[in-house]
Amino acid sequence: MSRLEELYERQRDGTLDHAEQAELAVLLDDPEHGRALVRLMALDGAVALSQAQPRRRVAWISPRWVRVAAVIAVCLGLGIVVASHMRTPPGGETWTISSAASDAAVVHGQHGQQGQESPPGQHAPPDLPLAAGDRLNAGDRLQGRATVTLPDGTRIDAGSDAEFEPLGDRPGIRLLTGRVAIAAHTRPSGPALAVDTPYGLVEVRGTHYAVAADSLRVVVAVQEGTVAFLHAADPTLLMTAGMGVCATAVSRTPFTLPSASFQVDFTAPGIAWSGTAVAGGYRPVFHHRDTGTDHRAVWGITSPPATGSGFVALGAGLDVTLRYDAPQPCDAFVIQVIASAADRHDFRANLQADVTCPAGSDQILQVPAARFTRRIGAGPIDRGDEVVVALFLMLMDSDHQLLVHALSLTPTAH
Amino acid sequence: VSADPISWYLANRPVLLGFLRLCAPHDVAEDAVQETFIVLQRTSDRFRPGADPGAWVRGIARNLAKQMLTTRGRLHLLPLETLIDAVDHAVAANETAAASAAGTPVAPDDLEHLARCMSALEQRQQELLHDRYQQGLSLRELADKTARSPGAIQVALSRLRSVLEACIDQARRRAP
Repeated sequence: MSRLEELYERQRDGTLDHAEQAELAVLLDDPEHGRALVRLMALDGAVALSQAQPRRRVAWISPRWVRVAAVIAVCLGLGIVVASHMRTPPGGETWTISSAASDAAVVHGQHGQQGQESPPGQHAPPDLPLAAGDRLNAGDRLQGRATVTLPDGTRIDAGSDAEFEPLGDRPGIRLLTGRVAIAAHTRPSGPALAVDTPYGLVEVRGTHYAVAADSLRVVVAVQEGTVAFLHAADPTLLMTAGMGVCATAVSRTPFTLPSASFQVDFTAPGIAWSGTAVAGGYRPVFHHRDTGTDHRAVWGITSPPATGSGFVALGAGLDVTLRYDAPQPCDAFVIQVIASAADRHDFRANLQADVTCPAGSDQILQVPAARFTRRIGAGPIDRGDEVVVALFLMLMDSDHQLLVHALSLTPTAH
Repeated sequence: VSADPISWYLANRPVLLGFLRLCAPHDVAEDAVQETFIVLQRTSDRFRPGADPGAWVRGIARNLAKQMLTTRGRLHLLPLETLIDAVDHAVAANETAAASAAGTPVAPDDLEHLARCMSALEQRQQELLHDRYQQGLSLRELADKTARSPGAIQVALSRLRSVLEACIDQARRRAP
């Protein structure tokens, strides 16, 4: 292994001091070293891009009542926090924070008191933003938007209004308030992953579900697998995909998740673009941007506040319908979707599908979500989020020219 | 060589991501790459034909990474400007290399080759690559996880890179 590789690897970790950084810079004066470094970087980036995570269906609930009852939630939530801390035994497994918003924070419990310097990698130091790799231990409480990964790979995406802590006596969390979306790995043995809420215990029997809680009620929505909801006053409710429950202190009411989809039609610059079709209560608003070329378009999607507990997870499922009308034959093309939310650091979707060109022109081509691969950094879209979606097609004809025609984009309904 | 910034971005995303990984932590680098594309969509009409699209894209990416580090209170992690400039220069000097030729940097066209080459690796090797490049684990974290020294991890990564590059070169030669 060369000195260049050694410095490169350590710089990736941020462990080079200034003298070593200067040494690396000097090494790069040599064109051979520069070439070798670019190869290192390209392979590094390519491996990251090529390793799509296992596809997980993750969705969010955005109950309007969470916002409506925010003030009450704060007041009553404090009581819940105090009470829950009193009965939470410390201990249990250590979880890792994968990403966090700048205002997210960990209030350290018995394993890391706030204001106390913690060993590197064990706790986020007080007064510093959380960072990937920080740990969350039993007794700690997480506040704000963050993603936490459990040792078994289970991922908990917490909303900005979320506040939770690990359960000390079994795998799971105590959700004090706010929203969390959970992509749970099935545990072959031992107790199931659980979300303890003020009005019931949600127990995973399968995989993916979302929970929202405030001081007034709890909503659970199941996307995949089976989830059990144990309510104090009612019999245990087993829910499968597409089912949800809204629970208060005195009762629980099952419901069927509303479908949610929208469709976009547009044509490339130079051709009239149009369209908004509404389904499931969504009213997309499109902001078309002419990029000056014939193969890209960008539009924004704004979903209005909605009643109920529907949701759209663009990163989780995306069906694309292409009206193919190529003026010249081609062999294959690539559809790529990159989406980003204006104020959501944690939502990034990068989807790509390789498609064989249909024979003839003016064909309708369906590209289902399952065809999309190479997804990195995907996250959920929430209702009310303004999302910029950039979608373009790379149509590989003999001249490798890029062409695009009409298409529609339909996030899959859950 | 790409004529416009978005084409450059598409053709050089792996290098751009690797470039940013030298400038910022894993999560910031990935965010900056994604954000760069969005910014390019909004600003590509300001790009003057004839200018260097790679420099334009890398400049945006660098600024975004710096902004993200600032807003997240991690600006101290930004390396020396001289190092960033040197890396930037190396990228610029090497982007004229013929795409997909043997020995040239891995390009988006090689991703399928790469996926096949990676799938041929042993499970533990795949996990090492995944943990390092996808999860962004540090050498120290990998060493702790695998009960090996950071130096041994570096050597293992170096060997894996050699294997992958040789495999990709071979796949390129076989490709029509």
